[in-house]
Amino acid sequence: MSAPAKAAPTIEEIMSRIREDAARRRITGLDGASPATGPPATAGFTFNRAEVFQILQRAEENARVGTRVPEMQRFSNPLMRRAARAVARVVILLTQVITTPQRLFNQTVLQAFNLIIRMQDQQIDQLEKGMADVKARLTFQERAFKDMLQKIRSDLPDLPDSQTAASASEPLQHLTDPFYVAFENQFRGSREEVTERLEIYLPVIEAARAGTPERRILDVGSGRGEWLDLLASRGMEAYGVDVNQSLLQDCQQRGLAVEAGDGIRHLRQLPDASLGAVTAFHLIEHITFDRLIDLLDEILRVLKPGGVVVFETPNARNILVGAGDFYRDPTHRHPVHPDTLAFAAKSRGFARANAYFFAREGDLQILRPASEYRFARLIDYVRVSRDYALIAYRP
Amino acid sequence: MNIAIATVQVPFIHGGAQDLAAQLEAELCLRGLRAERITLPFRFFPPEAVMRCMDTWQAEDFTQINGYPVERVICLSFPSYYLQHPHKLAWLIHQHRAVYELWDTEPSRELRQSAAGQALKARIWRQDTQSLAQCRRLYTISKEVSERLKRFNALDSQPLYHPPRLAAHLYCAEAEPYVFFPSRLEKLKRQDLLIAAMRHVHTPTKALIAGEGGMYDYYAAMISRYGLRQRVRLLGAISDRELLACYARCLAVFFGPFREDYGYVTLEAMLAAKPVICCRDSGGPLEFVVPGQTGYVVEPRAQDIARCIDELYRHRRQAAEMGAAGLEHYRNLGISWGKVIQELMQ
Repeated sequence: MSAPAKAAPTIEEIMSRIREDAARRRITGLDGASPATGPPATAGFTFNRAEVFQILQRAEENARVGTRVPEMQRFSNPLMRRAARAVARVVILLTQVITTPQRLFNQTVLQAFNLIIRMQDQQIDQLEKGMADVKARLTFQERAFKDMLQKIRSDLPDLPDSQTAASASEPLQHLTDPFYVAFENQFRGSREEVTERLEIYLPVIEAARAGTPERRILDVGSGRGEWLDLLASRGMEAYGVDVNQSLLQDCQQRGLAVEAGDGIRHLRQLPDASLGAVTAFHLIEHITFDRLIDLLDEILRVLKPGGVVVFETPNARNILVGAGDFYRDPTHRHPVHPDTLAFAAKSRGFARANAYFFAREGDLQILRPASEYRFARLIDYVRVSRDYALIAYRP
Repeated sequence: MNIAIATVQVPFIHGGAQDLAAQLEAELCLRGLRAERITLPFRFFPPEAVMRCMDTWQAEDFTQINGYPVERVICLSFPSYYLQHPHKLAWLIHQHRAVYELWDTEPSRELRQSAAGQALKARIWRQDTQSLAQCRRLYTISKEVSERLKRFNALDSQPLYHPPRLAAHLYCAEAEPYVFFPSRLEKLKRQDLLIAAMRHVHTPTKALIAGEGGMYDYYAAMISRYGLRQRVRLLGAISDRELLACYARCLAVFFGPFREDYGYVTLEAMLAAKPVICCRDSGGPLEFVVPGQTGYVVEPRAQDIARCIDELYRHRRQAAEMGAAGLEHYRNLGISWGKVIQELMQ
């Protein structure tokens, strides 16, 4: 804010401006050890209000110097005492020249002190009120900061966190892979059943003109590979990504194109607008909501215009699923409500994002928009399909 | 995953190398990785001490330490990359400069003229080439360092830029008429160029030189001898806050070292939106200064530097515009720790 007209300041003037600047800009976390941020000079000294008032009272008692004639108690002879008091009175009278202005000064100073104390009380009051306000704001800020930190963390390049990193270097963790394979075989249904169910998505893929060499399909969490098998049987170009070593080996033996890796990390490596479709069956219930958003963002980025994303996940609107069966799989985190998923996809930028339930029309399995369902009776919560699908498009 | 950051420590001399190692450690930890700096003291004199340090590092096996496996090793400085590890990679700050590009310069004279010095040079050249070739991947902190590696050791490497320590804190304020030059007071940083230039500056511009180091007395005497006490000031060590304020308020930053590896000063000046004056032989800074747009690149001659300073003083608005262009340029470079770590950890 210095006037530019002042042509040439001296080094001293420049330095003082720099120091002013430096003092004004308090940045926490910087040069913490510098003496400027050391403990205040009064550290270890506690002020006691009562003590201060005692001192002031004593001062007040002594302020009226040169007015009181001493009793002269040490003279036991009454005559002597009277004489001594007379002398004292004369002395006091004579010293009035000095003591009168001294008394005046004493009283003024005391008055000033009392005034200062009262002013301070007032200011402390105000400060305390201010502090309460600041505290409230701080709580709010802390919450905002926590949110922000989380966002920053999720924006960081997708490095293996310490847990997955440790497991990546350690084959031990993958001992559980065969366990999960057996688990899936038991509860997900046979290959044939699953393949039949998956056929329902073929028209969706075809309508999005995906599956050509220019518009390949990526299946995230390809698992046992039923979907890849099905696509291959229709001559469609597709490949899968999965972390489960046993399942990957299985797929490779079947001649399917699969890669080992984490889905989101794999997507990050892909160029913009490079795929025709991305599918993920029974994947999103295994990841945190933050990662789900990441997943949506990455998919939106790598899809070509008109490209489609298909997710299938347990339907918590089905009361049996929501109340119990969802939790049979120990690797499930939490169900994602169809409304939530559709909303998330829309808000991240997908077009025509809708959740669909499976329905029967005669002999035909069809996908019916979730918005058409009314849950009027308790039986509706039992009859609604146990899984649902999200289908959304890159605009 | 345990990540070892191997580097040397030169006790009581603080410079960019420590900042880099500390930042790398912090940035890795921030991303949930377990990283730790591992250092040994380094003596650059006499040659026997350098040899001893080389032997020590060479004898170090980082495959595991006390039963803890070390999955990654990032070697930062000479001679830490001599250590043994199947997956070591190097992100080279610099080699032992005294036996490379500085061999023919004054600071290496003693070394050059002794048999021990010549033996040291021969061994370092040979062993550097060998050990660095063993690295899984070879990165450097700048093109300057990569070029040296190519020239002297015929090794290809990839420069990987990282942001300076105070990147998030630098700011710009209205300029006061002074040129700022923060650096350790050393021969190679060439504070004497700026001091000499101030004799030829016609405008009332001042020069503030921050930092401490072995050349303090020499530079102080030089300032007195030239009668520049009212125009040039050695500030000594200053706090970070003062450093930020010095950057924020200056007219321009002078940074004319000899063959600097990378040079945080250039980047910090750009982040404070200030034009940078550097020299044709300054090394690292040349990778960032766009002559005529974000600063000047001049011959390392007092008169030439003085001319730039006068010009900036006379055209202050232009100076501010140059500074802003520098900031823009920095942003376009996309320098970030995220990228560095993604590259190092891939």
